[in-house]
Amino acid sequence: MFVPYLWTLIRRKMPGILIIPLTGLAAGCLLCVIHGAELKNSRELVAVYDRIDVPCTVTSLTGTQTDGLALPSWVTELFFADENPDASEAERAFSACFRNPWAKSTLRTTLDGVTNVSLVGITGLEADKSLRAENGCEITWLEPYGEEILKTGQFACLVPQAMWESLSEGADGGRQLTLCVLGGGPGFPEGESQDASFTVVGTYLGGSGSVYCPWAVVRELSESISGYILSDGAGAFIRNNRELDSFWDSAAGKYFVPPDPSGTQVPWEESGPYTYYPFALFINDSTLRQTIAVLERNQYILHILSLVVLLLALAVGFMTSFLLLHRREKELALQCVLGVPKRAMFFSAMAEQLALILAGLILSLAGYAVLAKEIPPWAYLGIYMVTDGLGAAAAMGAFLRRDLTAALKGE
Amino acid sequence: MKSLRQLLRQPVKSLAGILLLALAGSLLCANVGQYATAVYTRRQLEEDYTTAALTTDKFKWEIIDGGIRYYHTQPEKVQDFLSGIETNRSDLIRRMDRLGLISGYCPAVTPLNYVQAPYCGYTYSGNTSYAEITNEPYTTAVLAVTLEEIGPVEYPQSAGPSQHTVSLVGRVDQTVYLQEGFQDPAGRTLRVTLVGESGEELAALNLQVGGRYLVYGNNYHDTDWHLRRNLCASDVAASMDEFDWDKITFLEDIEDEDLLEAIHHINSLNVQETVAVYGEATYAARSYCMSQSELDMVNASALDVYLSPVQHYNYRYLDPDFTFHDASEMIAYMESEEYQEAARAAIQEFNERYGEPSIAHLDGTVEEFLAGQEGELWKEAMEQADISNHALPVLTTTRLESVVQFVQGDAVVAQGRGFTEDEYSSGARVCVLSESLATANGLSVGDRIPLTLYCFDSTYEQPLNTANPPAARYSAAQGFAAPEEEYEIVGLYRQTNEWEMAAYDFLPNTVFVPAQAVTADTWASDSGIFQTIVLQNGTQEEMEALLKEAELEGLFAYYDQGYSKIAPQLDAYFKNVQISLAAGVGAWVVIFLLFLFLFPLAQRKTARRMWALGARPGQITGHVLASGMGLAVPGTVLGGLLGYAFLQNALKQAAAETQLALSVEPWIVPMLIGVQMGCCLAATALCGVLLARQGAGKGVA
Repeated sequence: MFVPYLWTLIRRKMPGILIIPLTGLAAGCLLCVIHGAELKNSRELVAVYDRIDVPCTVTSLTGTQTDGLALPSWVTELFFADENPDASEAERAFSACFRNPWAKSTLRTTLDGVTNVSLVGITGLEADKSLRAENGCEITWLEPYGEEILKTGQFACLVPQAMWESLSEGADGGRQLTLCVLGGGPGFPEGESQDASFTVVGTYLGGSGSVYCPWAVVRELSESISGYILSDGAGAFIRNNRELDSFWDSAAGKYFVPPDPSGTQVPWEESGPYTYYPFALFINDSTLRQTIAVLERNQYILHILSLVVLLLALAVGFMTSFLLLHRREKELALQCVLGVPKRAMFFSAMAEQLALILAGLILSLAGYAVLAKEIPPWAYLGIYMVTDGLGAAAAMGAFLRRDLTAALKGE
Repeated sequence: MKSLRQLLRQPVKSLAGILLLALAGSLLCANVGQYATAVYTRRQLEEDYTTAALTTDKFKWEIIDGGIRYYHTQPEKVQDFLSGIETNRSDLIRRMDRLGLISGYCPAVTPLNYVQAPYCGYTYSGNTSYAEITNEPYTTAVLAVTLEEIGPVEYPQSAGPSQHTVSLVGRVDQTVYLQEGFQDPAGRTLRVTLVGESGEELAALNLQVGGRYLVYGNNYHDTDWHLRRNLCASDVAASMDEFDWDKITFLEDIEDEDLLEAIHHINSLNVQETVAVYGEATYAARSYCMSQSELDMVNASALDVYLSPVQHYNYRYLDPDFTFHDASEMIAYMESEEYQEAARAAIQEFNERYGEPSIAHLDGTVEEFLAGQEGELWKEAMEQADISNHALPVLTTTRLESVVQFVQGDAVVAQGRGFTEDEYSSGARVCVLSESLATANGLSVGDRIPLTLYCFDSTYEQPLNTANPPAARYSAAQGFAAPEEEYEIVGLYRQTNEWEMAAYDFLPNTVFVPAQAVTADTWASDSGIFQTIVLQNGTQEEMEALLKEAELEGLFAYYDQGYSKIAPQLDAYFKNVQISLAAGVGAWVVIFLLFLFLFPLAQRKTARRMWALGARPGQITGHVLASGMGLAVPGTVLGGLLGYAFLQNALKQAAAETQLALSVEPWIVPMLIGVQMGCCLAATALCGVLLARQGAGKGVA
């Protein structure tokens, strides 16, 4: 009974009454969109966090040298622990903090028993700066090979163009290179040698003149000849950038110190063979921190302004309800004169107002659900409804206290 | 006025109208402000990320008939492309950042010396002569030596036409002057290459074995260090400190037959003859075969001594007015008396201008010699060398973050900060130097260092390195280019490999200053670290397409600091902000319509009454307009100010929370107020016209 009556009332006041659901629609849309933007941007921020590479490199104590460090086996084992079934829990925990580990190791070899050739094992081209194109190096991969082969354990190699040309004169067309790998090293004079045969998978111009092969191969050769591997450098990318702050305490601090420009040695009490930490770990997170700080600042502004917008929307809602009902004073006064009870008038006006606002909000919610597919800001919308109702109640309260004659005259 | 007075008769209603518009205005300001901060954030991120396009050597290589040829300059086609790209494709090129080189004398700072560096596995390419690390200009030495050997006068083909040399070997008795970074060579062997114009000039020195001499020379080399470094590079030892020269075994003392056979085999290959090995003298061990020249490097240093500056700087007189047509004409001209006379005069002038000591017999102590009249020139020369020994290469930059090592992450500002926009534009006297240099000299961020700038003396010196450029040798004849000024250290950078020889490296002695801070002439090049092509972020693919079109694929290597990985996220982020702006504007439009409905359009009855009383349509419109604007003006201004206050508060809080300040251009608020007022004016006027027409049509209700 009440609903058809309300509908009749609303229909008679068309199109002016449309302003009420329209306001609700606008407020609902605004609150939903701003809330949605906040939610979505938080997710984008998380994605940015995950996508920025934070390189982590073993360095000298001063942080000014990352190549030619002669890193002992335990350092590289830390980064590649997940590939080693014998790795300890602590090593695995350290390794778990990283992705895409890289390493570079150099072995002394001879070609034809005479020419000294450095055999450099790398996990990828980025492990050796001299292979970068801008440093004058031009790499040509032979079909069907590519850089990925450096991540494997295949006996494949990248040779200088000049060496390739001299090899090409051989019987096998230069696709095979045999090097005599020399073992030993500082403190290990008893090293032996071993012949290793490589398939040539690419050539390069410029660069260092060394022969490059997968790091796993150099590790295998070195361990079989000398029982250990020395690496020129090693590093990786942080797996979870959001755990950067706890990274030192949980993993890195057990094995490394942060770079210190003075190179001050830090005692390493937990270590057996070492009195001091021999290496530092440099985490280059400046790009991440800079980007995140800028985006977080914007996100913070967005958050504060969304609260401001909410407050403004509430104020507008309150005022709209108040003014629209206030505008109908004459009509309400007439109802009063015709004997409609004040309570019934109050509830009728409130129901009409809230129904119209609700219609607007439902429309905005429907649109938001279809377009944004996000959880709506229920609390914001609820508060808006309440404020709107308060506006209507305030208008009705003011009306009910008014002199009916003055209201009828429109004074 | 009457229209406005009518507003005062309904104060509550009018106030409500003003408030409604104020809220709408605040909403709009808050939304636009939020959008503006997002735009600034995006702009800042775009600035923070540098996409550098680095030229590769792809087109410098040529393989002809199985032979490989390397050209030190890019082919003409590449040069044309590079020279035109900045102006032709400004949509792809954000800017060309150029560095300038000058030298800065800083008495308070002792530059780092290459020999102090621990052995590092630097990458050395045969093509990187432009990046070689030298200890220049810190290689002037004054040493007191007792001569042990005097070689014959030689006329090396590689030297200039009038250069004769004598090799001297002596024992260093006293180090009188040497850059602090070198190990004191006292007690060591010194190998001197003495250069004169003629054999007679050298013979006139009457050098005697056993005699004590004071030598002033350049190009000082700690050959012992160089040998240790080479041995380290050969994996004989892991560090420079592990050497024990007692581990050298001479050929005649080697007992291992296999090793002897291997050495004989090596010697038969016409390479430098092995005379000893370093390390365990067995074939299976890691031993290093040493030639005699390498043995001579043990516990020794080397120095070049020039009897006249003409030889030192390889000065050649050329008549500036002479025009060269063909070789025979040139030879005839150079043999003419006229030329010879002019050359003699020019050389004499050059010697006087750049005169420096060379070698002098010591009868007493060094101190007595220097106190005498002959010592004056020596003291002057040492004072001049002291300037060079405290000189740092100063690179002027318009954007530190675009220097390639910083783009690649091979260098980072580890302490303090880079330069601000204000510092770049005002040419503030601020600098960024390396952590290593600062630590070695007890400097930190906030300290001030005095710098007196000077240029290369092009008469005898031309910079060659386009990477790792050193400071210039100070020329008293040319003097300083600017008076001493204090520079504040605002940041310290750290290089992941500070002594490296790649195409875009710089020395840890390098000081960066804003380009505007230096008014003196700087030296620059269009390659190496001196120029960075900075692309608009995210335009690598377009650049590659352009290169493909020009058949220059592979000319550039790109570094974008990971921008391409986060670009989709940034786009989505700012799209969300745009959508919220649209929602805010939409909400403002609705509230504005509400205002029109509740106020100007609510005057329908008044309009009809006015019409009935004989008012002209213009008067009706004017009334509606005046009463509408009477509410709109205070409401809009109030809204603008409220919105601005909200925004400023948000910015302040965000700055406190994230330690990153941000300001929004102050013109945004007046602009928004203006736009809103314009809208109000137009809409209210339209309402007025509509009401005037309606009044005319319907009369009084």
